[in-house]
Order: sequence, then structure tokens, then C-alpha cells
Amino acid sequence: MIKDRLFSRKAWIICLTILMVAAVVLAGCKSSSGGGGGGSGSSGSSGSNDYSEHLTITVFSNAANYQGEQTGWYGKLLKDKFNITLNILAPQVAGSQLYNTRVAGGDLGDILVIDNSQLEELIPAGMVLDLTDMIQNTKHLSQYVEKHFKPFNSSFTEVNPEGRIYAMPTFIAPTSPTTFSEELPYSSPILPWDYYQGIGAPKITDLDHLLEVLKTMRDQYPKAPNGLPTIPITLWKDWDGGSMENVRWISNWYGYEHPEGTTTIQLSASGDIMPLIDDRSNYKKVLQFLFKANQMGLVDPDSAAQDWNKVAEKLTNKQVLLLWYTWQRGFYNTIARGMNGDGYAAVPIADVHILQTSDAYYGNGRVFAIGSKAKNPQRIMDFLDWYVSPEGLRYTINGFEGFNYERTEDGKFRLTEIGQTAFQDNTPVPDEYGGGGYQDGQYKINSLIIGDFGTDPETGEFYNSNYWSHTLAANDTKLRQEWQQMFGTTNATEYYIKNNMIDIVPNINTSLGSDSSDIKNKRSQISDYVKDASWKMVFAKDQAEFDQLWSKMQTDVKGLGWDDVFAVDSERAQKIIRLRAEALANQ
Amino acid sequence: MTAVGGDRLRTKRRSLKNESAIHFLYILPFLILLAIFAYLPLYGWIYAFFDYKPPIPLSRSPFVGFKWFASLVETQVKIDQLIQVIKNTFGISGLMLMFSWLPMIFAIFLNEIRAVRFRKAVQTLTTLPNFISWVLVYSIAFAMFSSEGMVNGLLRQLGAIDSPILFLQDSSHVWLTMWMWITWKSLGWSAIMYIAAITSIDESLYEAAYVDGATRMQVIWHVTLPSLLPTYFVLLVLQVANFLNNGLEQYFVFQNAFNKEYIQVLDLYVYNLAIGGGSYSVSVAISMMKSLISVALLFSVNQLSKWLRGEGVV
Amino acid sequence: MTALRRSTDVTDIIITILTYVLFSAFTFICVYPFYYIIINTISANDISARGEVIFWPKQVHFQNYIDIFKVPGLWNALMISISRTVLGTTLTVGASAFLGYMFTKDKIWMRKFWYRFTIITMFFNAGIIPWYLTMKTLGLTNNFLAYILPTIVAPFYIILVKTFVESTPKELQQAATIDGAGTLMIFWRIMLPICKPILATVAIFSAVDQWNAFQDTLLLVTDSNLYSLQFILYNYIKQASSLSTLVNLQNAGSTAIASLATEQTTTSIRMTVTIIVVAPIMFVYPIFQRFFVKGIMIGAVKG
Repeated sequence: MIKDRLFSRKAWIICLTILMVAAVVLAGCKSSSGGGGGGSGSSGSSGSNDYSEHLTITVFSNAANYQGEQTGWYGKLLKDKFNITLNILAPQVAGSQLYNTRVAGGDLGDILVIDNSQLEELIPAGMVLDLTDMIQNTKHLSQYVEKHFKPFNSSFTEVNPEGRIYAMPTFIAPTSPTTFSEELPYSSPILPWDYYQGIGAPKITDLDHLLEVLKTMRDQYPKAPNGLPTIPITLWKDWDGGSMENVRWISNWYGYEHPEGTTTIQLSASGDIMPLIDDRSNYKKVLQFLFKANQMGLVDPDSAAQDWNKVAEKLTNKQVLLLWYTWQRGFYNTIARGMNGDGYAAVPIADVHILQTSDAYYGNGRVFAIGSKAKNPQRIMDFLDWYVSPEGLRYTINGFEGFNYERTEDGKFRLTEIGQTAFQDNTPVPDEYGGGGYQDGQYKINSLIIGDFGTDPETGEFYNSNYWSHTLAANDTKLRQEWQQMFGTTNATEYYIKNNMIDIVPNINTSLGSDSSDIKNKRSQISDYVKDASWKMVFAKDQAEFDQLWSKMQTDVKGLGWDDVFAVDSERAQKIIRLRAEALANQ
Repeated sequence: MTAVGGDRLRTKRRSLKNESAIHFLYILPFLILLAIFAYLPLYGWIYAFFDYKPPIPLSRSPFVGFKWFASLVETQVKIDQLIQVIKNTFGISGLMLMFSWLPMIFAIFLNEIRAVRFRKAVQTLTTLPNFISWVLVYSIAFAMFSSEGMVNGLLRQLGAIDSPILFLQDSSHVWLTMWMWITWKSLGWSAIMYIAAITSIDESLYEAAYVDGATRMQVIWHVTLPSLLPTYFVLLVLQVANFLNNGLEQYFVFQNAFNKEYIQVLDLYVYNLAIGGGSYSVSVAISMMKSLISVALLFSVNQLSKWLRGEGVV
Repeated sequence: MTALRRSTDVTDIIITILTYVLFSAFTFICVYPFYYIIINTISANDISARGEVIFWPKQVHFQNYIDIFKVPGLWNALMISISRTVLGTTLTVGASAFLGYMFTKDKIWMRKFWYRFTIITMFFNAGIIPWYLTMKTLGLTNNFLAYILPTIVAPFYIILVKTFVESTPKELQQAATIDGAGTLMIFWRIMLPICKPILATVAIFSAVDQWNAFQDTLLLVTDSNLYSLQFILYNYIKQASSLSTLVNLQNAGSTAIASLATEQTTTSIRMTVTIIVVAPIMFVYPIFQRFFVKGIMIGAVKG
């Protein structure tokens, strides 16, 4: 009756083999994951630099978009220097529940890269180490304690009354709380330069004029270089948080921002707190602008249904006319195109008054901390110390000398040929440095303590290679020159500053507290409502519908608990205003 | 009854009891597995009655009783929202119930195809959509139905329309379109169960029918269909019990501000609540309610089945 | 085998034609999107992104696939996925067959109760935290068995088998009992062979579930040696669409963002991943199709 057997002999053999393989895998993995330093848990095991035992460090990073071990050239670097391997856990990949479950289980990770609000929760739960003593003994980190770490940690007054140091903020720009070092504000009007020249480079006076300009531009250039139609304005819903994200950032042009941690208010540089649903708010003003744009047929009809990837394609194809995020230029602009005067550039509108937060002197929303269950905090501390040292920063941000950049006669750095495209092309790295592709081997933690606007003591320039004098010289394209000629300054930021069209407010970094469950629920329902209503308003049939949607929203959100959430947000805004004043005073 | 006969009766009864116990022991290990993985975690329903905010452990969280359940219907606006969400869920689940016989009919007529190669090809190929994730399905849908997509391009070329039809933002036929997508994606795959069932039909039944001179339709009606009905009814009862569970992914990728009102089914509503920063406890509260309602539905429909057909399913 | 003659009439012919037409049409709309995905993955990415690849591939290249095979940890993940699929499916099919059969027997202590006990678990969802904590207490984090143990008892498949068994003639089992066979023997020698079609169904469903599963990895497994194929590929897709969060880092160096911006379009990556994940299933599927064959029941009762 062999025919009647469900599985043939062969299948049985295969199954048994698989079972054995599974058993081996199982045995193998149990031993490797059980590993990880039997070193003493107490801090500073006599400060010895004994790296003989290999350590796998679990890094829980909110910023990472990759989950797995750090491999490639950066992985080899860390192995050689500290004999560690970083195992990255990424909530962006595994989902936000990763935080909840691990926290419930009592062990979040060895190195934590988490939000301010999460830090605020973890301190009283005893899940982060007190670093005050360890940090005094470091070579580089200790330099930043007085001016950066201490004020930051002290601002968590409720959970950290003694001002101990629990965490180091990320992306610190050690310039000053009133400097803004980037060449363009984070959000400002950006148009294709050659098109702008083509229609006669009119001086744009206000938003209505901008619409006309966009219309003229579209009529004159109806198709992008690849033959697809030109789209003056395109929107997308992917990043909508408390409101329509696109509207939020255009609001910045007129002096009101949505502070992180709030969803119902707009805040101006002078401390004016304006509710979103107020008739005089910038939010309404920008919605009105987009509505008009749509009435004139200038808005992408697919905006509501598309996702960011689609938008990215359109940006790469030069289909979109109006941009506002400074980094959107990177999709299309290249040096080669710039030489032909072709690319996106800032085009100031006369009546804007941009609100821009300064360099992140106190860091930027997230922190590096060490988990309380970490097995070898000293080595982690050594690693983090290296992470902020000039050497560490150079490696992490720019790769390595001789490959990505080289030293020049005047003691500065310059990007090599390879260096200019190593990231995009994932150029193979020589084996002695670790092999693999450059991009694959890049650091996956995706967050820095001292950011790329730190100054390299050797060259006196920023770590950010875009701002190296040699890079700027190489980027001195026709586009840049024409721009400089027309507007009379080196870059757009300078122009705005010179003409009093920008307010640079200190970048305050602190936790504004997390919501109670009550407020959380109300906030999420209100946000949903506001988002949907906003989209409908932009695409409303006529002004009457627009107005009707707006008033309905004003009443409906009250029914969802607007007043309570607004009260919480106002309180937070007050804290921000106060801290900003302090930062200015302490300068 | 002789003494021996009485003995035999007694031993038979005893061995019957033993048999019951032995059979139970056979299934016991599996029941234990089930208890560990399905029942043990249910203690987590407690979280619904607390204000749980990680990392504060549950033991230190404040007890709030039925607060979360009440919060769903706190204000008129919320009630209106919830009613609409339930309407949406009913709409889509209802449509699916109405057409729950499709996989069965699909399998029956597939079986009627004589050309073996063609039949096997159809059977394999119609399962393909099942493997395309909803995210990718949406990419394809976008490529086809966006204002610059294939369909609008074709319509414009034919001169049928001047400006593009915004299919993906349309709010008037949401339930129907969602149902069509689900059917496209799952029809071939669900039919597999019925195809398997058809192969178990005793060939002699067919022989008898043909001998009686039955046409193809009559054979289907009198032989094939009745053999499949038990499977169909079981699946139908399960589908009714699952009435509130539409799943998340499909509606998530298709939702936008314009169709949200009609596309937000209960699962999506819960997700939007939780992801928008809603508390964990609320999502547990809602999922607890759904579980209880599903089980209640299961037994209700089962009872209905008993009354109508004489036998239950569970 | 006697040739069976059936009476044909007009309705027969109409039905035949309709069947062929409808099935062909439906098959076409099932296949075309898949075909669309394949040709897009082998066409130049920028042309694909513009939506110009509709009927034929353009500028054929296989770089998308080559890139994926270079993803670190892919081969290990493949081994993990294959292991869990084979092991998990075998155990699930076995358990479903056994339980499906056992639940048809009248003589089990509290049969109805235990059956319902099993079935209602389909509708339970305890929440992610208690589930995680349970698994952790059981030592199933970073453990291969976490992929297998929870899936063994699958109520839906048990129902399928039970329904199938109930539709088989009772005489088969009765005959065997008279011959002196015990419950287990009947299961092994008679029910298993008879249930081949439904077991093949359960096997396909279960295998696909295991192959596609990765939600379990997301939270339970942090040891990269245990990552399944789906997870590695999901990771890969995520990296390509990382731009959205970089936006939230206000002063993050524009270098990083600008560079990432010009990478391969995520859609082409997603499509390639889909093909890679589905291809093995399509190869294995015909093996199961063999079981959907009539004739098992012929003479079973008579003999």
C-alpha cells in the first residue's frame, strides 16, 4: 500500500533533513543571542580599555529605517575600534508597537535613540542610565556638557528635578541659538530657474501674484523634459499629522509655525498663539491660496490619491513648478544641469516673512541614551565619545579619507570624484576597509549627537561637505551665479536676512510632555477631522462650499474636544516662548 | 439476558467510557497548545479597563472601568462618526455576504471545463492576485485609474471625456469598488476549497445521473451543488461571525480625504485612532468588543442554521 | 472505463461557450496585473516610473533582481523561510487532519465543548502586548519555534477537514472498525489517504501563510540570524522609502536626503520583491494541484 501513503519516502527524507537543519539553526541562534558581554554591569570597570570580548550592542533607534546588524565598512570600523557589532532595531520597520512591547518587557535596548517625550516617560520608570558621572570622564562628550547637555536635561523639570544627565540630544549644531547656517530656509518659495528666467523673471509681490506667475509658467512650459505634463502645485497626504502637512509648511512663509508636539495652534516669533480654526489664522490663508490655485487649475488632481513615491518621481522629472522644502531641490538639481542654468532655486516673494528656527544648538527632538539594562555601559560610553569626536564625525558623515574625500594643500577637505557619487551609486568599497557598497555600509543608526554643522577643528569648516569651500567652488554653476547676480547676496538665507524677511527664533529642544490618554484620543480625532476637511476645502467646488466646510469644521471640532486640546497646546506654546526668551537672554 | 450478556454490556459501556477518555487524551496536547497561545494572552483584555501608558507597568496604571467604551459615544459628533463607520462595515460585509456563493459557483463551472490544460491553467492563474500585497495593488490601481493613468488616457483618446475622471477619489461607489477589488483578489484562491470538495464526490452519483439522462445543468443542480453545500454553509457561518472584521490593509491604502467617509470600516477606524496617538487601552477595548460580538454572532447564526436546516455548524 | 453519454441540449452549448468566455476574461484580468509587474521590474526604472511600460518591457535589464540578491543576510533568511514553511506546514497539516478527524467522532469526552473551545479562538485578539509578554515568558523570543508553535492548531483548517470527513461515507470507517482497526489506525490508513484533496488545500493555504508571514518576526525576533525572507525584503523596501522620516529631521544635512532622493523608485523595488516572493509559490503550487484529482472514491465503498 505504498501508493496510499500521503508522503513518499523522498518527502519524508526531505522533511527530516529540514527538521535537522531547523534544530541546528535553533541551537545556533540561541547561543549567539545569549551572548553579549559578561562584563560587569557597573559603570567604568576601572575605565579599562579592554575590548577583548566581542560585544553585540542593541540599538533601538527611532531614526533608523533598517533593522538588522550594522555590516559593511562602518561595521568593520566599529569592530576594529571597539570590537562591537551594532544590532539595530527600527520602529520604522517593525512598527510603533516595537516600543510598547519592549518597554512592557522591561528591556528597550542598550543604546536608545528615542524622542524627547519617550525619554520623559522612561526616566521615572528607571529604564535609562544616569550618565552624569560617566560623562565627566570622557574626552569629547564632556566638552558639550555645560552648554548643551546640562540645559537640555535640566529642562525636564518634572522627572529630573536634580538636573542629572540622562541623555544627549541629537543633531546638535554648536553654532549658536540665533544662527541659521543653511543656505536656504527650511521652507520658502522655490521655482525652476530657467522657467523663471523664461517668463521674464518678474518680481513676485504676493501669493495672488505667485498664482499668476505659476499660470504663465505652466502655459509657457506645458510639458516637462520627458514629455509628461507640467504640474504647478502638487500635494500629498503621507506626512499629514495634526493637519495638512503641506499647508503647515507653507504657513511658515508668513511667520507662523506649528510647534512640534502641538496640533491645534500656530505660533509666531513674537509669541502670538493662534488657533488653527481661527478665521485669521495662516492656516486658513494658505488653504485659501491652494483653493484658489485649484480653481485656476494649477493643483495636481491626483494629489489626494497619490503617495510620496509618486511625488518623488514627479520631482525627479521636473514636472512640479512650486517647491517649498529646501531639500526637494535635490531630486532634480545636479551640477551638470546647474552649468546650464537649469535647476530649482529660491525665488523670494515680496510680502513673506519667514519663520525659521535656528541651528539646533540644543539638539533636535531626539536623544541618545543608554538603557538601564545595558551590560557594558563603559564601552558604550567610549563608543559614543568617539561618535562625537572629530574622527568619528568625519567617518560617520563623510566616509573615509582617501576614498570619499582628500586633503588639499590649503589644509581643507575636498570631495573626490568617487566621493561625489559614492552614496547614490553605492560605489564598492575596497576590501581592506570592509568591502561591500558605500551606501550599504553607511551608518544605520541614522542619527548623530553632534550634527553636521559642527566645526571640524582641523579645517575650520563644517562637517557637512555641501558647505566646504571646495565644494562651493565646484558648485559655482551658472545657475548660482545668475541667482547671485539677480538678488545680490550669496544665498537665499542671506537675502532674507538682509531684507528683514525672516525671523530666526532659537531652536528649543525639550519635551513638552506627553498627552494623557484622554487628550490623546481627542487629539487624534480632531486631527483626522481637520485633515479631511482641509483636503476637501482645497478641492472645494466654489468659495461657498469652502466657507461652509470651514464653518462646519469650526463647530464640529468643538464637539470633539477642541477646547481641551487647545488648552494643553497653549500651555506648551507658553513653555516654548519662555524657553526661547531664556535662550536669547543666556547668549 | 444471561449473566454473560450482562457482562458484555457492562464491559461495552466501560470500554465506551474508556474510549471517550482515550480520544480526549489524543486531542489534549493540542488543546493545551491552544490554551497557551490563544487563551492565555486574553488576560490582556484587562488593559481595556485601565489607563495604560507604557512604560508605566499595568500594576501602577489607574483603573478606569468602562471609560474607554463610553468615550466612543461621548459626544454627538463621535456618535455620528461611529454610526457611519458601522454603516460602512455593514455595507462592505453585507455585499460580501450577498456574493459569498461566488467561489462555489466558480469552482463548479471550472470543473465543467473539459480541456484539462486550460482548466489547470485557469485555476493556477486566477490565484495570482492573491499574492499581490494591497500596497502593490494600490500602486497598480493608481497607475491605471489616476488622472494620468491608463483608463483616463484611453477614454480621452476615444474622445469619450474631456477632463479626467477621478476614480480613486470618488466617494459614491466606494463599497462596490472595494467589493470588486476583494473579489478579484480572492476569488481564485477561495475557490480552491470547493475544488477540493468536488473531487471527493462519489463518481457513482454522477454515473447514476447520466444513466437517468440528466443534462449538465441538472447534474450540477442535483449532484455537485448538494455535495458542496455543507462546506458552503460552514464558510457562510464563519463569514457572518467575521462580519465586523474587514481587515485593515486594503482600506488603508485606498483611503483618502474624499472617500474616507465611506471607506472607513471599523478596523480602519480603530487603526486611525491608535496611530493618531490614541491610547493602547482604547484599541484593546474595541478589539475586545469585536471578539465578543463575533462569538455572539457565531452562535446566533449557528442556532439559526439549526432551525432552518436542522443541523448546526458548530 | 465506460464512456459516459450525456444528453446535450442548447443550454449545454450556451453554458459551455459562456464558461469559456467568462473564465478567459477573468483569467486575463488576474494575469495582466502580474504580467504588468514582471515587465516593469525588468524595464529601465525611470521609464517604468513614468508609466510607459504597459504591454512590453522596454530597455530590459535585470539589475533590480541582482540588487536584491546582494542584500546582506538574504540567503540565511531564505533558509529560515524554507525551514519554517516546510516544518510549519507539515505540522499544521498533521494537526488539522488529526483534529478534524477526531472532532467527527462522537465518543470524545465533551466533544461539542472542546470543538467550540477551539473554534472561537479564531475571533480572539488579545492585543499585542500580552501576546508579546506571553511569548517572552515562554522563552519564545529570538527562538525559531516562535514561528511554528502558535500556528500548529489552526481552527479554520480543522473546520475544513472536519467538513470534508463528514462528507465521506461512514461505511468506510465502520468497515475498518469491524476489521478490528483502532481509531489511530483508521486515521492513518484510511482517513489520511481519502482526505488528500482537502489536506492538499490546507497544505497550500498553510504553506503560503508561513511563507508570507513576517508580522511575527517584527516584534519577537531581534537576532538577525532568524529573520525570515519576507522581513529582509520588507526591510529593503523600507530603506528605499526612508525619505518621509528624514523630513522630520529639520536640520538633517541636506546631503543625505538629496542623495537618497534619487535612488531607485520604491515601486520598482516593491514589484521586484513581489515577484521574488511569489515565484517559489508558483513553482510549488502544481505539486499540490495533483491532489485535486477525482477517482479516489471510486469503488471505495464497494470494495
